[in-house]
Amino acid sequence: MRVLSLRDGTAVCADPERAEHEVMTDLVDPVLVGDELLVHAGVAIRHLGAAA
Amino acid sequence: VRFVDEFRDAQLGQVLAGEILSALEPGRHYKVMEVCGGHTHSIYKYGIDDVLPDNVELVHGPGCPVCVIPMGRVDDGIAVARHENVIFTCFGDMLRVPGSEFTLLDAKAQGADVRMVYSPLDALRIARENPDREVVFFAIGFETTAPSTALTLKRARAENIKNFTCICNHVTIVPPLRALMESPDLRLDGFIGPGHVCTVVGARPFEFIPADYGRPVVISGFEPLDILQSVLMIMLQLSEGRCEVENQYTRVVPREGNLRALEVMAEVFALRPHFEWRGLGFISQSALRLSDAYAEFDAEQRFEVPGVRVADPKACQCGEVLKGVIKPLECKVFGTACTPEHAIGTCMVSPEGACAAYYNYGRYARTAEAV
Repeated sequence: MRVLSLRDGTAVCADPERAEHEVMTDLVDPVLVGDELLVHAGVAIRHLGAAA
Repeated sequence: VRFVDEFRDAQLGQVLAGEILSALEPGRHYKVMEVCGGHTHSIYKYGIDDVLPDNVELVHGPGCPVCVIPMGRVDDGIAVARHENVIFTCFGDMLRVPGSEFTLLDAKAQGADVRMVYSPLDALRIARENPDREVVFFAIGFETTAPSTALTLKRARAENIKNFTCICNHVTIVPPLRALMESPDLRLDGFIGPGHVCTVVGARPFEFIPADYGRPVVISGFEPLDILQSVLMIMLQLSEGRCEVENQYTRVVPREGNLRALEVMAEVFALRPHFEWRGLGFISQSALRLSDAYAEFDAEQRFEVPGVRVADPKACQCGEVLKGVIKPLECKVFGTACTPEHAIGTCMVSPEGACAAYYNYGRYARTAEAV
């Protein structure tokens, strides 16, 4: 999923179908808008890459 | 889409299939188990088994979270959901899993306040919005999903939310694999390892398979080329006389896993001494409960639950399917009494279940045509 915005340890992310989800980012390194995350059940378990 | 399109190239798939063929020993039949339900889904969605040589057989493993929930646990959930003041939350797949008499969807139709959520965080939001109600989350899943439940409970504690509890059904993947390896019913040549579980737990927990049972494991991604390359890596290990845990999914899986996730899981959960798996029976230390430090969030302590073991329906052969002993088509009720619309067994409910994958991607129809 791609990070769209950030707030209080939670990211709003878009999945490949562009649906938006609230995602906890406590388990990965700090994220920025545009980063790609591997998300399971509302938590990012892996930071896949920085914003291009 | 980044990380997706480049792993769906059909021409490269044909090249990999050719390399797999070249690595095989003539006349030998190979059985490779894909552990994870996500792999089963991809294999049938993309027709991966159709490009494999005839003597390479993919066997489906026990890694579908919904499929392994026993009927008694569904009954426990329904009993809690029927409490007058309870809002019961669960993932969508769970709604249709049969209990001894009803599903959670039936309970909802009968008046229980059962709501589908995409994550435990959604359930916590419902608790925040309904301070006068008890909100219960029915937690299922392997090590990929457990960190989400754990983090959500930590948030509930940090926000001092008192009306949120969880029925914890999280399970761990290694104990059932060890049980399968001890099973005399099954002869396997190698394993396609669960890529997303390994993102959390790392590669090390799977080293017992080559060390104790002499079988290769290749941790795999979920796109078609990932799975084909993983099969090739297994065949190369076998042909070269090697036996180890290899990581095909290096773009995601670090060897040590996600240490923060492991830490939060260790804080919030404790191992259950034993847990019942649908079709597989009781397996020691194969599931998680809430730790004593988080007992206040344990719905099984806040509500009375029946806790009764319920035998699977006689007609259902989910156990044999989950152990890889039979293919879904060999089940007596597949596609007749048991369909995705009217499932008898859990393997027909979840999209990650082997029976649902066979049914939804036309295996049933194609086999019927061939006959």
